[in-house]
Amino acid sequence: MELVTIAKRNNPFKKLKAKMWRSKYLMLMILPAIVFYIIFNYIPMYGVLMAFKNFKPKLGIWGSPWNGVDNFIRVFEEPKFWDAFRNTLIIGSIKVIIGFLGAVLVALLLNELRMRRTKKTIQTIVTFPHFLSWVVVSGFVFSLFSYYGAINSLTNFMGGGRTNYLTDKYFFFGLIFASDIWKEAGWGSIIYLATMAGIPQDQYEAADIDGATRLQKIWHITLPGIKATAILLLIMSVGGVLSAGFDQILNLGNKLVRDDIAIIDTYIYYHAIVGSDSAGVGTAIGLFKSVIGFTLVIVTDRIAKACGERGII
Amino acid sequence: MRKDRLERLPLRPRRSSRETKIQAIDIIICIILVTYALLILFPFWSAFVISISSEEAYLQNNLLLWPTDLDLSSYKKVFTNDALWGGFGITMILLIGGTLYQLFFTVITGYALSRKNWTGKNLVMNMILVTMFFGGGMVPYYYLIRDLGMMNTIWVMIIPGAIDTFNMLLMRNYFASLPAEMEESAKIDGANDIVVFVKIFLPLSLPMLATIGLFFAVGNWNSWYNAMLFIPDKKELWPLQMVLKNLISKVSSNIENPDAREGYSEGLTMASIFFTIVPMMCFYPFLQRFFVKGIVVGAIKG
Amino acid sequence: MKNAKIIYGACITALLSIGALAGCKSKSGADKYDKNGRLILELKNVYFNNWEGADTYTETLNEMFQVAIRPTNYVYGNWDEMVNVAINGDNLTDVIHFNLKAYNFGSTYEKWVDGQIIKALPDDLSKWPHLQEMLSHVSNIDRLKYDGKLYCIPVMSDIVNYEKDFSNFTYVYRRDWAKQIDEMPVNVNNPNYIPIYKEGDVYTWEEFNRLLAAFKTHIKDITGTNQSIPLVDQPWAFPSVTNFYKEVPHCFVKDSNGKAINAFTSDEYMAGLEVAKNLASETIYSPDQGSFTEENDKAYQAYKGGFAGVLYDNFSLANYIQLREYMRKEPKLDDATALMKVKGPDGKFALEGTENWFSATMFNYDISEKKMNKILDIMDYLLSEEGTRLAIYGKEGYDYNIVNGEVELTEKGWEKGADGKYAPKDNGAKYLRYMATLGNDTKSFDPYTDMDAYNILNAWTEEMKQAKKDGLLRVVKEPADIDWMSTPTKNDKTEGLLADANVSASKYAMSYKGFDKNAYLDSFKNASWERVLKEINEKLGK
Repeated sequence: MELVTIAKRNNPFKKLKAKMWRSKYLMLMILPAIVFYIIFNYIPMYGVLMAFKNFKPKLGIWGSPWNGVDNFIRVFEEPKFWDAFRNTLIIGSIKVIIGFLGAVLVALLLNELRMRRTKKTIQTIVTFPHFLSWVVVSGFVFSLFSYYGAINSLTNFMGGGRTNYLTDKYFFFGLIFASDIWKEAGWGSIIYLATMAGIPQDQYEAADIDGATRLQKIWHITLPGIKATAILLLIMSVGGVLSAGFDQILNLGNKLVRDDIAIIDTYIYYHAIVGSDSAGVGTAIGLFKSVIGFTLVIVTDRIAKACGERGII
Repeated sequence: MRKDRLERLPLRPRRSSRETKIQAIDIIICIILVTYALLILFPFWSAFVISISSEEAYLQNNLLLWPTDLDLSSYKKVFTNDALWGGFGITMILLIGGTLYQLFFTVITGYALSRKNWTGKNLVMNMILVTMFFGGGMVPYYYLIRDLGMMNTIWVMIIPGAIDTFNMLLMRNYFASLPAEMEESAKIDGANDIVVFVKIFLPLSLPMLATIGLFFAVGNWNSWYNAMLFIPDKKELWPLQMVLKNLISKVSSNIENPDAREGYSEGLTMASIFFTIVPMMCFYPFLQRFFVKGIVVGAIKG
Repeated sequence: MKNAKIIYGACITALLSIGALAGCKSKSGADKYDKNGRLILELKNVYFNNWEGADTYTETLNEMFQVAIRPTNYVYGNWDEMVNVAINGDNLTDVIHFNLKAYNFGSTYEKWVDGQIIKALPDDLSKWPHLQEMLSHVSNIDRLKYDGKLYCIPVMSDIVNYEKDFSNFTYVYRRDWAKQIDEMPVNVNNPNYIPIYKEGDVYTWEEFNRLLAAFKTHIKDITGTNQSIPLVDQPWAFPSVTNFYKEVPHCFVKDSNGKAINAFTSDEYMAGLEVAKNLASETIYSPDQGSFTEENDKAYQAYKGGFAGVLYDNFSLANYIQLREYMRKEPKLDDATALMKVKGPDGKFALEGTENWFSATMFNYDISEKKMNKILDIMDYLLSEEGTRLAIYGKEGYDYNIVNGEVELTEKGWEKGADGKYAPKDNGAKYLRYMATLGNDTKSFDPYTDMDAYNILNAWTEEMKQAKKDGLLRVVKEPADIDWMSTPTKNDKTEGLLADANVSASKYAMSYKGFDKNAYLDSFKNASWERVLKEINEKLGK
């Protein structure tokens, strides 16, 4: 560090030039990326101006008249927006938590399964739904849970009568989380399973000698072994809390539960894309969401670092 | 030696061979997991049964566990549809061309960002990270595509996808996790960064390349949104998923329509769903280990 | 480290300003010619489905008007969205097509006129007599004019019978089941039994309810399925029984003093809603009616699956033909798809009112006069007798000949398929005609029309028209002065308020958890409703 400072003071420019020349090939490799990000990410970024403008398509974004924070006021005075905001936080955080628990549970079970063939097959099956789109999954959900669907036919046959799962808000919340687990728990378990596999065998062998039960081994060896990974992944998922699953909510929803499960992204969709709110209002909500999301990630990162864990930024 | 390191990343725990006696708890775990797997499979099965049953059979009986009235007309409709095969062709182009293109740019960027201390690295890195949180929204993006002349061309489905930030970071983390000694010794021998990358790092990272490539391939296979926004007027350029969406889209009937359209049926929907997921289902068991390996290496080491 | 931050900030600023400067514009709509020197016309319409513009009839028009027609279409599912995307992206085709309604004209049409998005028609339309004649019959056309200029061509449903001001939103029912129930031994042997089936399909409110109750009891006996739904509504129309009570279909109604109030909390509407709620709780409506969406299409599935007794839908000719296609497997097709005429508690039929047009064709603001004239020439031609013949029959001498003043189809031009129907062929003229009219005037002589369906529907329309003359038909319609009024909040909010109100009504009718009468009324107590009503009443002078 000291040397560099001295060198800098002596001939900072030359030094920099020499350093740059040394890494010229790396810079060549990064050049396409810089061009790409400038064109496809930075140039469109001036679009955030729309949040402060009364957008008129013919005048373009730059030429449209400013309207200060009117767009924000319009959004914030709408009670439904705050409902959507609250729902987003609730649905998003529950999803993070149960997604985490589900993945760990599946990983633990698979880890404890000692029949290798079966294990491989089961793993293949349970990771596959990750690749399905929500359109497909919601088709599945509907054919299973509708009033005359498979589940209801089954409970009815067994004398339990029928339940309106799809128009009962509590059941519907359950469905959102259940379908999310169905689709993602297997995929999420991969990483924990691999971490568990990386735990040194001698720990288990030592425990065997001490006569530990399997449950004790899980509690004292396996779970502590995946702690670091789990925390890292949890921090990473915090950024996604505000995107509580647009595709899922949009595809699963129906008229009756629409308001109870509205999230920010569906609010934007129904009001600014399909509905009559202007594009400026949509941009304002998007900006608001970005800022909150960014803050959330920074805060979690700092908390994690303060607790002695590795951060992500 | 380094290769060994990779290979040693075991996917299944190697328990001591002493523990071979199957206990009651093993049976219970097995039962739980098998039930779980069956729960995953059941919707697929039920959708498959619907797709090969006649419509009456489906509508009359929602607990279809077994095809009662075999009717393959839905599949016939799907397989004889020219537009679908056209979409299939476009999707294949995307799948091969698009994936290679994305792989190339994502990998060289990831590599450059994984090397230590070149001037401006942090700047570029931050510049990229910012885009993960902030974007300009759809309108300026639409302007951009329009002004670049990519509307209604196949390029709009390929070019803007050059670098996927998340996968690029996975790649970067992977490269960073490889030991640096080899690079140093090669550099002493006079090799430049590109030679080091091509001769040393690339061969080491083939499994990871396969993984990222597969992620891209799956993304390309499922893509339709760009086509909807930016290729509204050239149906012959629609990828498979977009054609399907158009085929099975059901219409709210408070719209006045002067021409009767062909009736849609649940069987047709299910058949077209299978048309798109069966190729994935066939390949997935063989490719699964790449997905698994890649996601593990990328995330844990990162 | 500090330096790095400054450089970083500078770079970001630089990038953002590049971005801002890059907002340059390219003009759509400019005159372009194909290699034969013919003017290219980019026409976009929701009905141009499956038409590529490559057929010989389009070529005839191309040659006739020295143009190159390039048709593209909107997909039904995201029609409005795609129009908005093209407008916001300033990337319009020469002609666009939009689902214009009284409740959305303020937030769309009016803004587009104001924002120079769409182009006004020429003041003097006498060059295009057929078009001028058609426009003179368009209902509420003056409401679409700004400073005397018209900025769109409303697509008329029927250019001949243009007086019809009610929609075809109505019920079909299983007449065969009603008859079967009457013939059941248990009913035949009961001396006090009153048959539920009514000759002529006209039902009073009481008879209608009795029929629904009988369906509820007997559908399972007839069909043997485990499901039975006496009455099913399309999701956009639920609850349809409110039609027989409410005075207006949408948001605003006038009270006895002529003051505008919220239609959804009016006494009439609430009475209808209670009836719907009762029907739902008696499972006359299916318990899962609330989860039906346009995407999952469950309402249709229930009817074509043979376990729903009565279906409420928009039975335009095309939709009615489609329903009959679905029901073809039934031995008595007419009985399985009988149109039902229900009288409300006031003894009158009730049908939702409508304009005599549906959606509108609009022109890109940037197109030249020349291009606009060409497009109007084509539309006018297609409305003429000769153009109509091209659209319906094809080319004279090839597809048809005139024999003794009558059109005679040729075998060469009109091949028949294995099912005995004419094989479908693309006719660009027919598609293009949809830019001006839905073509209900031509259905009676169009070789493709299913004449059975046409005759049934036509008889229904005539009967309803007669009922209207006799004062037996109540047309449920918003007062035009409120419907087409433009106020800032109304323009912005009406569409959203209407959507939300429909959600609330559905929730209340389906006894959604925690949604009692107070919750229903509360869902209308918000700033938007108050502001809209205040603005409307100010304009009405109340």
